[in-house]
Amino acid sequence: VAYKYIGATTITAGGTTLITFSSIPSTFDHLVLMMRQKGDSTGQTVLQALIRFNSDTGANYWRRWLYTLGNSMNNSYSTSGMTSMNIGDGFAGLQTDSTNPSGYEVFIPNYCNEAGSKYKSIYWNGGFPGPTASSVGLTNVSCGTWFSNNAITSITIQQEGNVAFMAGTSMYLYGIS
Amino acid sequence: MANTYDLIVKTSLTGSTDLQNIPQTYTDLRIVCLGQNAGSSPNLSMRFNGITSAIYARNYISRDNNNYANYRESGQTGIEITNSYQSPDTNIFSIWTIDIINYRSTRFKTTIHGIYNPTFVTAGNGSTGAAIGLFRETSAISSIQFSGGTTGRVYVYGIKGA
Repeated sequence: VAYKYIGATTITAGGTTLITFSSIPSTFDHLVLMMRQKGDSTGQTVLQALIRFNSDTGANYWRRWLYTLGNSMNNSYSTSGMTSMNIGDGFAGLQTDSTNPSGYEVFIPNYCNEAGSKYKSIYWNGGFPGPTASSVGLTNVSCGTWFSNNAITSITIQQEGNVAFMAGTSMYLYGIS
Repeated sequence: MANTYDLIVKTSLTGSTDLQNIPQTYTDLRIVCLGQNAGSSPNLSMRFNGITSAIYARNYISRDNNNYANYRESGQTGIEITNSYQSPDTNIFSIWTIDIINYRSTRFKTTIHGIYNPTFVTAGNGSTGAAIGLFRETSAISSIQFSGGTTGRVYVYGIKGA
């Protein structure tokens, strides 16, 4: 089987701030994280999801974004090491439809160095639609690097500001071999 | 429940990689490429069935270093997967995923590419984007040829209905 379920987390009530996949098997070539994020906060248009590997909180992450927000095309890249990689964006309090989810596919190839001992390059595609005239919508096609040659054995995801995920958030992790 | 997503082949990606005998038992193909090119080698390109005539086309959108780019080209002798294959840091793979939809069809074949070249700021600020390719040929795809680039890995998966 090339595509195998590893684990999932579904948030059914508010209050959870950290989602963790631990003891990830080393038997696959790649990982895929399917992420449905419902993030609510006040005073923000979007609420980023931050990913870390192996609980590394050092300044060992980098990312490049290409995205549309509303009617504008945007891009951004980190100019120095970051302490996490900001991969997703959920609807937040300034949106009319703040409870709608965003959807992301995060692809993590070579997580166990099967193709060679390298830093971990990943990409993610996703965003959220703007279902009303007053909500902006976002599309994101981006990539990043974790500057470590270590095999990935755990993944954690939290929202910026440590804001709790809303009920309806779900994350599924798959292995591909 | 039947398996619907199978690994067909996994092999090293070199300057010239020829994947023959693609099984004709799937609906679609997904290719994952991990590549690194520290020098000025040609960009990574893809051909099908060994055909080198000018029957390939491509559209793409990307953010490459400090520039947005979008481009359309037709009458090409292969589908250039990305025009920025280089990953100067030997510790970092660039990533491409390529979906070949209905590869056994008797109509022209469409490919969908995701392009990701993570490169740290000290060596360049990387690029990301997406592309659509076209193989203007009605025969089923039975082999895939990659050219350009230097080192890496390619994985080909078959996807089918139950």
